[in-house]
Amino acid sequence: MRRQRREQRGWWSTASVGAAAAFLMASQALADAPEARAPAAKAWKAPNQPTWFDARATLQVQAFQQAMLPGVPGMVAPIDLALPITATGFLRFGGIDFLGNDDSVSGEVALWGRLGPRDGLVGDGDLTTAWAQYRSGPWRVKLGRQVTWPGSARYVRFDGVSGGATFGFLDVDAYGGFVALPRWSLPRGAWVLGSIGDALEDPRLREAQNRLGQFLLGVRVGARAGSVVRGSLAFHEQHDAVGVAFRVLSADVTSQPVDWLGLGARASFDVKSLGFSEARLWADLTGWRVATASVDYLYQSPSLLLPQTSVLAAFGGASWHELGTELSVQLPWRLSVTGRAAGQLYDGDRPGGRGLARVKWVPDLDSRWLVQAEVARVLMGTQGYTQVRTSGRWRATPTVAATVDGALYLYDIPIVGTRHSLTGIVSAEWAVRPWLRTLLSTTVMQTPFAAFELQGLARVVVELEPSTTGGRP
Amino acid sequence: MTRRLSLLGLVVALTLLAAACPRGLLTRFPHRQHLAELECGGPGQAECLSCASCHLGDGTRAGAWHRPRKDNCGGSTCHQSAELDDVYARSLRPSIAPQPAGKAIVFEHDPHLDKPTIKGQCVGCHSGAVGTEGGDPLFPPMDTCLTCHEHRTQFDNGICTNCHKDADLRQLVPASVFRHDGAWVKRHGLEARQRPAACETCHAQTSCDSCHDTTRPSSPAMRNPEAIERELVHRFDFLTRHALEAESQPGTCVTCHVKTECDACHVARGVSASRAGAEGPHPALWSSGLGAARNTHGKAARRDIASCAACHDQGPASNCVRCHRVGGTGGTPHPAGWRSTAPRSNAECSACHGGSL
Repeated sequence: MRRQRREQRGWWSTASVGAAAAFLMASQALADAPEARAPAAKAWKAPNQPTWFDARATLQVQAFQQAMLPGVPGMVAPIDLALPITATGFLRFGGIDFLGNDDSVSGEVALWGRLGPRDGLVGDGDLTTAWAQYRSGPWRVKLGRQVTWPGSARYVRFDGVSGGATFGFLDVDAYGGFVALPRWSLPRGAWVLGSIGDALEDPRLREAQNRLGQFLLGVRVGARAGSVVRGSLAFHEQHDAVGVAFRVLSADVTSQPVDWLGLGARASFDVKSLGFSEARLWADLTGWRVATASVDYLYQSPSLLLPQTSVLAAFGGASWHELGTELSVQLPWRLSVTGRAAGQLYDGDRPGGRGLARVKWVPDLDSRWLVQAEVARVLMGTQGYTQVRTSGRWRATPTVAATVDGALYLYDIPIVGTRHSLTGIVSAEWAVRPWLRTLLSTTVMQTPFAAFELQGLARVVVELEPSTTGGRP
Repeated sequence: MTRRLSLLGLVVALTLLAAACPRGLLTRFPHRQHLAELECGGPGQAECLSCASCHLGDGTRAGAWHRPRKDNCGGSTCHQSAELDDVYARSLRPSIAPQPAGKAIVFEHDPHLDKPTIKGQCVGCHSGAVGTEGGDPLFPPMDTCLTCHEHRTQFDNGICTNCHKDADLRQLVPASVFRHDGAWVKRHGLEARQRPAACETCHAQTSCDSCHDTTRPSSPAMRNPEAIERELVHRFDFLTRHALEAESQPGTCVTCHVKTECDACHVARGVSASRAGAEGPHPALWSSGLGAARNTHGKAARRDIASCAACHDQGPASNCVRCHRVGGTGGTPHPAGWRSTAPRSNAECSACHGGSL
């Protein structure tokens, strides 16, 4: 018996070694990097480019209707049909000559507006982006509503000014302004982000927000050594109506010692609480055409990701750790497989985990068909769920396509007495003209909170530049 | 069992090898043979060839670089006229003839070849010309250009119009440099932070907002139901799942959301302390008396305080403060090793420590 096991291990080792050898051979053969590199060449100035702009507009009509079972104990929420109409606009421009500098001014504007009763408001809207940038030699300055990516508060929109300069291997950037998230014009309790268009405004909960007190500032210094190593050190301070919400010092470094290997690390240190709010280490193997792989370690202290003006930021303290890996393999027959797995450790001893396996198949060369199937499992101590999903797309003609997407979630412990939720989505697209695209979609759901839920979406997109990467619906 | 395992290993090996095979150079012409393997220059032998022998029709630098014509291949010591048609036809692959629309670069060979570091050598960039089958591409990928320090600086600063036509730029994907594959979704934030100008070359800020902007009245998954390949976290019945996701990966939500957004919805649904008479969503023994055995909320709060804050963060009016303030029945909420540089007199500290300083 023991010998048989040894034999099995031997065969398995042989097979594994063979597979690994083949894998390495394949990857070597497929390395994309040219062996011979072009040495330095002096750049020559291209002719001045004309002014350009992209623009896109979308119009979406949505319908939400639920038939709810008693959900939260003792409550039955009657939901009226909601039919919000949302329009978005996007404009980007560049190549404008200014103060004797060619192609020195560029900018972007994006906004959305909604008409129709939803959340107790007849109309709503926001200006999401509005900035202009001027570049001259190594210098740049940007003015208006823009975003920054600081440490703990990881995506912040603000109204203000940012600027920077690049001198050889060194980058310096600084920014300052008033926080635009959450929307300054809309107090708490007045609106909702969710999948249900029910009335949520409660005037009693409106809070005045002192926008003048909600400001931020930051500076970042980055350096690079050739194309192999780059890193930066940054400081970010953000205030809310009460006081200092975030005062974070963060550092990051990435390296690509060879074409197929990427290494990186980043950490954020909360200066006010003298603790690390977040740290991450990773390694990516991405140079192969047949496979990509990555390994990732993450540390987080959730209470330090809260604004430090929150009383509860003083309550928490238990950090958690996650070690994950991801592998994508491109197989013959236009088949690709992706696997992800991550193990988590909470409170030092409570395990958790996430895993996913996905198969994607594009059977024909012109991508008329796309078929996907995936299974996922999430586990956190006492609760968890399993997801099974299948989806597909069929391009009947170059201008007409249909999409089907369905998912079943099975919960380990019943939620409001229900162990599963089921969703089915059917969509049809028609590109009437290259600049005019339409979409009709229906979503049907059965969830622990709704015995039956129906959502409809009609969307019209008009775009002046079909290949623009901005202003997606 | 043993056979199955070995069969599995064999299948994996063959699959990877098969995946490696179906690729070739952009031309069928045996460049290596002509440039490096022919015996030449000696008595009775043909003249040695260089790239310019065939690709410069009139033999001068001023002449256009082009695909060689058939008469480049003739000559008394080379291919005989009888076989010339066949040899020439076999060396061509139609796919290299037309340049894909929008992919023409603004490039002049002559200034590059004149560089002392290049010394007129074509193969430094076109290494595929003398490579083996399955090797580097004949047409250099963009990262070849970026090995030059000056081009790398231009690229990092988002200056592309020295090489690309501006009108073409918005249709191009720099695949050899920005491979958005693997764990790209996890990494993209740092890339955007390190090299914003490079991202802006293709992407508008609104591209980021299409996922991260929480002011929009519906989620990206709801607005784009046809985008089945995109990694959209709010897909399907996220309403039921959101508490589990927040518990599984604490901190992920605050990438985009602020806690008042949570509270707005919880208030409306009657699961927030902000709403008078709201039913509590917590299980039995959540906070039913003194002692850890009759209180499970403490451990949950240690585990993910951000979820608590989604409802219970009303400053000094929070119901947590009632019990956990100095002198209260709940005891100190600070974890072991708690540190803060804030003075006790500030607003957050004085909520509990007020009067006991």
